[in-house]
Amino acid sequence: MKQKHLESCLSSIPNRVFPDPKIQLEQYPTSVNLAASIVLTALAKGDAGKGRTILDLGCGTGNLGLAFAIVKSDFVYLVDCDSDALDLARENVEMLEEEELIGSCSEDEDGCCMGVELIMAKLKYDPPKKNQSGGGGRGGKGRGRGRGGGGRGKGGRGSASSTQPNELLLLDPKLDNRDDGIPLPSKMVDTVITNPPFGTKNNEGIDVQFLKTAIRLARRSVYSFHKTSTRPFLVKLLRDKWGLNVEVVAEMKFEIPNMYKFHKQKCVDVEVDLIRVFWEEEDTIEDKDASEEEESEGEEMPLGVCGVA
Amino acid sequence: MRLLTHNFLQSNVRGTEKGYPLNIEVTTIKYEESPVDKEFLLNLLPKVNYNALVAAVKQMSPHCEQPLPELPETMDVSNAEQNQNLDDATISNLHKVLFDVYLVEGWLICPDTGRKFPVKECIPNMILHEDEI
Repeated sequence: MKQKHLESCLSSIPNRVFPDPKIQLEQYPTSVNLAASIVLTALAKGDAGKGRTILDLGCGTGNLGLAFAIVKSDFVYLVDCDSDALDLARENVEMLEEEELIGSCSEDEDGCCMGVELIMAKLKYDPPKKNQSGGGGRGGKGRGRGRGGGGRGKGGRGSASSTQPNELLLLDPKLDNRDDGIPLPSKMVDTVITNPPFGTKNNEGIDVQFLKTAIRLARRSVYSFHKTSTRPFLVKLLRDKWGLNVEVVAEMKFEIPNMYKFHKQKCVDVEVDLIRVFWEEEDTIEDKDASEEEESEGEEMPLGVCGVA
Repeated sequence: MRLLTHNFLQSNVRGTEKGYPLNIEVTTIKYEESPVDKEFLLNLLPKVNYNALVAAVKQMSPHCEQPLPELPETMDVSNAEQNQNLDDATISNLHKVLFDVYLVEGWLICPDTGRKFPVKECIPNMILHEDEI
C-alpha cells in the first residue's frame, strides 16, 4: 500500500482529534502523515499486515491502531483509560467497517483485518517520590515546645526536592509480571504500538511504564515514541538492563498544536524518536541492515528531565 | 466485546488469585456473521483457552435468538499441527463463537472476588478503583 493511499484512508476517519483533550492524559493526536509512515515501516519489517495481531496501548481516538487495521493486520485491540476517547474510537471503527476497510474480506482477496476490539483499562502508575531534602524532621529548635503543632520549619517544601525514578519501574519486565493494571495476558499479540504520555506533567516515568507493559504484551515487536532527550537513558535500560534489541527507526518532530491554555505558542515542536524493540525470530532474519543502529552514548539521563512542552 | 476478547481478559483486583475466566452476565448481545478466515483462526487457536471459551458460550447461548453452535466439551487446541486436521464445520463453529457474537451490554464478573466489570456499548470497562489496585 502506498503512503498517499494510506494517508487518504486515514484522513477519512471522522474523529481524528480530541474535541476536549485532557491535560493529564497528554492527549495529542497522531498526524495522518506520521501514522502512515509508522505503519509502512512496520509493514516493511514484517511487524504488521497479514498474519499479525496488533495492540495499541493508550490508543486515544485510535488513529494509529486503525492505520494498522487498514493495512490488513489480522486483528487490532485498542486500549485506553478514557471512555470519551474510546467512544470516538468506536465511531471510527464503525465508519471503517462501513467503508469495508475492516471485517469484510471476501475469499478472493488476500484477506483483511478481521476486526477491532476496544478495551477500557488503565495502566498502573506510581508517581516518583519527591525527595524533600529541606523538609520535615529538621527545623530542630522550637519543635514540640510551645505551641505544639508547627514542627516543620519554613523550609518545608524546599526547592531542593529532586525527582527519583521509581526503582520498581526499572525492573525487568519479565520479572515484574502482570501487575500493571492492564487485564491482559503476556505475549498476547505480535506487535504493540504506543504513543505514551511523555511524562512531563508531574508524571515522570509514565513513558517507561507504558513501554514496559507494551514489552510484556508483545511477542514480536514494540513501537513506541519517546522524547529524543531520553534516548541514552532508554537505550541503556532496554539494551543493557533488560537485554532487549532496540533500534531508533525514525527521528521526527512532533508538532504539538496549542490545545491547552498553558501553551503560549501556537505550536510546539518536540523532538521525538520512534523506537522499535524486537525479539529475533528464527524465521524472520530477512534484512539485516543495521545502518541506522545508533550507539548509546552511555551517558545516563534521569527520567523526565526533558524540556516541558 | 467478542468472546475472543473475553478469552484474554482477566480481573486484576487486589486479592485475586487467577481472576480468570470472567463470568458473563448478559443484558444484550448481538450476532453479526463474518466471513471465516481459516488461516487466521488456525493461527490463533493455540492461544485460545478452550475451557474458558466453552464456559463463555454456555453463558451467552441462552440469550441468543438462535442458539450458538455447540462445541465439544473438551478439545486440545494447543497443538497447531493437530489443529490442521480440524474439519470445516468445527472451524466454522469456532469462528462463530469467537468472532460473531458480541456482548453489547452486561457484566463481567471476577470469579475470585465477585467484582463486576461493566460492559457498555461493547466496551468492557476494566478500570479498577483506587482501593482495588
